[in-house]
Amino acid sequence: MQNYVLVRLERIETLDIGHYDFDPQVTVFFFILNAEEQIYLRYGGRDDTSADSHQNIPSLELALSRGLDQHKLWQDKKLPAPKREAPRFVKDYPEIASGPLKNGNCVHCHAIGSAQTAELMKAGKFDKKVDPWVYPDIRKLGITLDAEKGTVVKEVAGAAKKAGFQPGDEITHLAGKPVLTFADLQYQLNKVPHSAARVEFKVKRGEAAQTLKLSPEKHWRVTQIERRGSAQRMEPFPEFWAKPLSEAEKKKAGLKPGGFAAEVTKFWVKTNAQAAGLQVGDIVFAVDGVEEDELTDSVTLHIKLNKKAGDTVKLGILRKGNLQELSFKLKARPW
Amino acid sequence: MRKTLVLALFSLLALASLLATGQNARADARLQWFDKLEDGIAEAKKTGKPIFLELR
Repeated sequence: MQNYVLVRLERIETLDIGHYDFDPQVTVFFFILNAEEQIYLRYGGRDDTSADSHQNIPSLELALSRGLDQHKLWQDKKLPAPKREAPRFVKDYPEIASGPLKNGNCVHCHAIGSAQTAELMKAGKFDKKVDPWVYPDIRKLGITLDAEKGTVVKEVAGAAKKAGFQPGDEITHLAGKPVLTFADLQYQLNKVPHSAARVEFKVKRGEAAQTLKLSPEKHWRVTQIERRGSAQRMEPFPEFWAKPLSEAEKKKAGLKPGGFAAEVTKFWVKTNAQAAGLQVGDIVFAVDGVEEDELTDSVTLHIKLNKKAGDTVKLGILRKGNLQELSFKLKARPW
Repeated sequence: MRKTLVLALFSLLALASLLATGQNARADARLQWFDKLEDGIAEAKKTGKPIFLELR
C-alpha cells in the first residue's frame, strides 16, 4: 500500500460515475488508476453466494501488484489511455437529486442502480426481458474462478467445457478487453449482450496464450437479482414480501416442484393485497394460474417481470391447507 | 450474582472490541488516506505513485 497514494471516498456526490463505473450493489469497491485518472484495474465485485466472495488478501495483493506493473507500463509510455466515457454524476438522476441530495443525506451506492431503473422506466426504455439482469455471474458460463487468484479458472463445466476451458487457465481478455481481476472480468462481462452467440476469451495456459470462443447457454445472464436496488425499483410494487418454500416444503404442501411458491412474511406498508385479504403466513403458489417461471424462483419478482402498474393480479394461495384465490390491483410504488 | 457475571462479561467484550478498534485505527493511521480524489491526484502528480481509490 505504501507504493500507492490512498484515497477513500465515503461520499460519491462529486465522483464522475460515468468514468468510475462499477456495480453499485456492493458495500465497497476499489479502482487503481494514475494521476491522469486512467483506470488500470478494478477490484471488488461479488456473486450470488456472498458480498465478499471475491474479496480476500491474496487477490488484493495480486491486484496491487498488477496495478504497479500497469503503472510502470504507463510511465514507459506503453499503456495508451482508452477513450473516457461521457461524464455522469449522481445529481444527474432526478430520483437522487430530489431525494437524498436534496435532503443532504448520503447517497448509497445501491441507490444508483435504483435510479438507473427509474430513469429507464420513465423513458419507457426498460426492457424487462433484458435490463434487470446486470452484472451476470460467470459461473453461468460454466466457469468457476479461484477467488484467491483473480481470474484463474478453478473448475469448468457446460459451455466453458465445450469451448475448451481447462482448470488453471488464466483469463487475460474478454471480448478483446484486458482483464486483470475478477472485478474487471465482471465489468466486461456486463457489457456482453444477452443475445451474444459467442463470447471471445483469451487465456494464458502455462506460457502459451489461447483464444477460446464460448457459446453461452439460454438465459446465461439470469441471476438472483432480488437483492439489487435496480430490481426492487422495478414497477409494479409486488404488494407483499415472501420467503420461497424449500422443495421439501412444497412437496409436503402438495405443490409443484420447481414452482415459485412462497410464504408471505410481511407487509411494510398498507397494501392492496392486504385489503383483498392476503395475510402473513399465506402460501402464494400461483399468479394468474402460473406456478413457475424459468427466470426466477421468486413469486414477487415474477409479478414485477410479468405485470405492470394498474394490472389486476389473481393469486392462488394456501391458507392452513385450504386453497383460495384473491385478486387485487397492482400499484406502481409502495406509497 | 448471575446478573453481575453477565455484566462483567459484556464489559470485557466491550473492552476487547475497543482495543481491537484502536489497533485497527493505529494500523490505518500509519498510512495517509485522502478523502478527496483531487487531493489524491495532486499527491500522485507530486510523487509519481499510482492511486488506490476506495469507494465505500
